[in-house]
Amino acid sequence: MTADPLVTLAGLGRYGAVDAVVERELVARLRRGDAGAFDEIYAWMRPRLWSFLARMTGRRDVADDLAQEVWLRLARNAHKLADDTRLPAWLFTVARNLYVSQWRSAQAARALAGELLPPEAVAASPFEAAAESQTAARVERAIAGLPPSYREIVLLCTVEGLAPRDAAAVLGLTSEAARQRLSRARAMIEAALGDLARYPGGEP
Amino acid sequence: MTEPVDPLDALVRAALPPHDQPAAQIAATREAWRAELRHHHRARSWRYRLEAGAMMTAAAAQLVWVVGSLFGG
Repeated sequence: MTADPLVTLAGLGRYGAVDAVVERELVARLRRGDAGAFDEIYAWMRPRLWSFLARMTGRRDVADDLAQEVWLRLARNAHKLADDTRLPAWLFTVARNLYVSQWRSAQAARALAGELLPPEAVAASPFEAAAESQTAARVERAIAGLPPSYREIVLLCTVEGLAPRDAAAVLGLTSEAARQRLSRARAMIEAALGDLARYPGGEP
Repeated sequence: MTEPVDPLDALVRAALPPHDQPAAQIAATREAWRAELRHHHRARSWRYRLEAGAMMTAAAAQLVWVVGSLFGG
């Protein structure tokens, strides 16, 4: 007996792994163009993808545009998905590629405009002001302050709970390179958080 | 059995909850991909392909007729 995808996906958090059989069924339904399957994956992955894009770009409006393009690409290419497609990894790969293209365009525009543009703002998270505690605000700031290549691996592995193998595939890295990059990113966060990282519950 | 979670990872996870877009944006994006899905579904149907093929054939025939009238005997 196979699990009902709606029941299995409902309430699935960031770190829950979808049953492989359920994921294959969902992929098969997406390939057939089943609008219900699109609704399910949209409800499940939308906040994760958008949060990833907002934290990578630092801007909600840009994240809105990129997220919309991710879903349009899924609608366009769903019939070409392989049977064993890992959906979160596929969606994060598209999102990350779109982010890289957007970042390159922004860099090119900045280079063309030269000194006409104001200096780039110091890294800030779009969610820092909305953080519910000082700790959350400090962590948001520490993540926003990481170089993009380190920020993306922390967001994928630590925040979204992707397996290192899947994160490596999203980023086009070997598993070993991904592990090393994650380790360096953790060290940077630890340095940025200082005591907070050493004593998360308060000083002993 | 669940793997032990590194305290730093736990701290980062707890501090960075997923955020969501405003309801209007969610609805707009949903409408956009649904329209794309409908368009894509229609574009892949045999009826659409036959209609497109018929239109292309008619256009080609008209072109031949125009060229024939201009340069033909």
